[in-house]
Amino acid sequence: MRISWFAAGLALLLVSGMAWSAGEEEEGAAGAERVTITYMRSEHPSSPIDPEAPVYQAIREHNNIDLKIEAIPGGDFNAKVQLLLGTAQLPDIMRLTQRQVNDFADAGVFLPLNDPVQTQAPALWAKIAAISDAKKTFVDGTMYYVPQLNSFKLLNGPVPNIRRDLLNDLGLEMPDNFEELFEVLATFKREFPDSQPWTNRSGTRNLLNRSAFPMGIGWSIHWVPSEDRWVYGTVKPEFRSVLEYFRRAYEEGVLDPDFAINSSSQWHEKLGSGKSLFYYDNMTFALNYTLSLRQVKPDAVFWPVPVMENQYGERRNYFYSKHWLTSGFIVSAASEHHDRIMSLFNWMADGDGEIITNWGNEGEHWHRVDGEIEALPSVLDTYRDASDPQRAMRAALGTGLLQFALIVDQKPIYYYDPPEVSDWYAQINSDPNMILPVLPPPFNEEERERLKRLITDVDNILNPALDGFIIGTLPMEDFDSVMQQAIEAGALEIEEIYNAAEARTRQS
Amino acid sequence: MADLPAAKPLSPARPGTLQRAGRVLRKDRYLYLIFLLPFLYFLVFHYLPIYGVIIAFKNYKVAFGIWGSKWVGLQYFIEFLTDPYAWKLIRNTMLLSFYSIVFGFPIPIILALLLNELQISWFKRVVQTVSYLPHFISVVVVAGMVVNFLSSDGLVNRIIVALGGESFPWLMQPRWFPGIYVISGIWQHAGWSSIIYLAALSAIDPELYEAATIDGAGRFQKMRHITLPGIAPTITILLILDLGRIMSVGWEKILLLYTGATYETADVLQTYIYRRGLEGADFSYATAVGVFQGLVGLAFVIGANYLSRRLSDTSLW
Repeated sequence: MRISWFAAGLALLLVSGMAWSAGEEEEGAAGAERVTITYMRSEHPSSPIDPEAPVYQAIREHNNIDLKIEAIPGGDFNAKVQLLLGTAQLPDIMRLTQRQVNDFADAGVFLPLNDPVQTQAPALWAKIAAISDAKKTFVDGTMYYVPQLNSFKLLNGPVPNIRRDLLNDLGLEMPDNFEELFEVLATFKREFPDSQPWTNRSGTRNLLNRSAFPMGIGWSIHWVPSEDRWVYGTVKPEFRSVLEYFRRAYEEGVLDPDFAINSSSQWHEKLGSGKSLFYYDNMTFALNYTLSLRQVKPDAVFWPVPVMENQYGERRNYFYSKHWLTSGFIVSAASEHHDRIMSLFNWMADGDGEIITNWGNEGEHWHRVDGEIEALPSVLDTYRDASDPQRAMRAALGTGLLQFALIVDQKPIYYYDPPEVSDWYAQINSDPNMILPVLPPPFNEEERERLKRLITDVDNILNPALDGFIIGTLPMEDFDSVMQQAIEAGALEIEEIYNAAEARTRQS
Repeated sequence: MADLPAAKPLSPARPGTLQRAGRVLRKDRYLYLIFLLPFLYFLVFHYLPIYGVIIAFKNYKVAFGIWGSKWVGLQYFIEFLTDPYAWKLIRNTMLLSFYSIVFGFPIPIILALLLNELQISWFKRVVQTVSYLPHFISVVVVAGMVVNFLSSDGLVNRIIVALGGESFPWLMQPRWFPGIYVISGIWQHAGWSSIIYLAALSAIDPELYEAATIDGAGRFQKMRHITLPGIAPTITILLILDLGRIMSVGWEKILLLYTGATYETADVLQTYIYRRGLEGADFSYATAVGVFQGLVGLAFVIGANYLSRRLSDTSLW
């Protein structure tokens, strides 16, 4: 009898244990409990974020995660982020730039991601590990952000784009070097006196950042492949010729007189209305301008100028990076949901999650044609009349780069392109003079602190001077003395810090 | 046995300070209730954050927090004041404020005097409404309007070109920046600022004007001898307050309007604090610059108040 009581107790224990473990399995099968995770990012004006978009609903359905999205308009984003970082008030997930991560890596506000991603998001880790440059995004060997990688992307770049229809109308050749470009634009100015041929957005920094490197000496700190090192180009004697070129362009009306004050929207307006006829910037914008101009001039077309020869006989122009390594997603160290976030990241980097975050739901937004994913024609038709159809479509679905995708498939952005756009891509992708940019090396704490000060001090001298040289308020004879001041403020020290960090990275 | 001094007669019990305060509070409770909101506003947004200035004396690291960060004393103050660029910032800040006071301060007074002289009431109301409206436009919109008006093919240049002149890059020229800043400020705020002077004008005893009329005084004589002295205390107080703000200009507008080309005259302490503190994440240094700016502003208020008390018997305290 005593034994039977013992046996009964044992049986009860066994049964309850089985029931408990079955319950555990039940919870695992049904997914973990519903949690709310905050996600903050900047919001592109053409791609507003709708928290009820299909992708965010799918994240809820597949991961039992409610994303509370805090979308900040792009113009305000950096200041707000710096404040949040400075006061250690972070959302669970936030998209930051490499520089912001570097500046606050020592603060302990970001979750070190090496271990959690390796162990809990192996699909994501496999993709990051396959990118050799990804390690350059680590700070002192620690990964603090998940860079956005591309599964498919046609390489694009900040390239010169010109009104090819006007070249044809005036019997002009496509320019082959920067002097020819000047002559062509000067001819445009003569033929169309009200035009402002070469326009620019977002200040002088943008103008020089795009065009100075192809002209022979890059602006600010930049990688020089032929020298295999970082160079602070602005203070080099060769930079004088870049400034003289733009000074001449400004004097002769070739350069938009508002080149330093145009906002992005003014810039778009000038190019889309025919006021401006050339720009050195993102090639894909040419599509919108071309479509806009064709309403009044059916043969209007912006076309990328093949990489031009500079005064040193070189031809070189940077692509944009193949992956979005200079920005990515951090996880707050204070978040209570590290495991769930890793699980979400793994889902987003593998199979269903990767497809959903780029295309939406199968059958509803996409289907397979010969095994390849294609957007449904009905979905494409819905956004065809939008001013920026591909961004409008991706915003409505919540898909792609500007929403919340870790592995980005850029194929959907090409659906609305007219046929010539594929020629643009073919042209720049087959040009041997187009080169991939080099990611800045990771810096140690001392270097980061020093760089903060040096960059501000040097910018305080150079920012006003560069504008002054171009618009003629500063005589070119002052070039050497201004650059000497910038050197004394630390321009060459910036160069040294970059090269020391680069050497250290290579050794490691 | 020596005579004891005669006991003083007991006076009726006087209420204690607390009781008296309570009585006053009860009596004017609605006024104090109204006062509570601004009081809380100043307490929460202006006084409590003052403890944050500690980071000006520390090498603030987010990881260690305000109290855990290392003390560095006056390091950032010395660093700022020995930087040659600091003097350019101080000069620009003070010059923009000075121009704003010299050209912007008298305009609302003149506007109020003119409005006060208007006899047609509907016209007066229309002028007042039209002049107040710009005050309610966001500074971002105002800056956008300025950029549009002054761009190479903007309204101003179109007029110049139509009159036979040449388009001029207004926003790229350092020497024009202060003018653009001050004029756009006057356009936006002159009407609104005139309200306080109109209120002061309405408090002047009309009998003074009647007496002056009987004595044969003209319109300008009445303005000079009655109106201006009547609103002089208001003018003085507002001038002292403006002097207190001499180190803080409307930096949002500057941030929206300046370019590298105009740094020479447009870069001011606040834009520098914004760039270095917020964009450059150098919080301690930026706070030190902010504290310096606040202290100089305080010195100006005290100085102006002292001078005003000596010269005109009107002062803030």
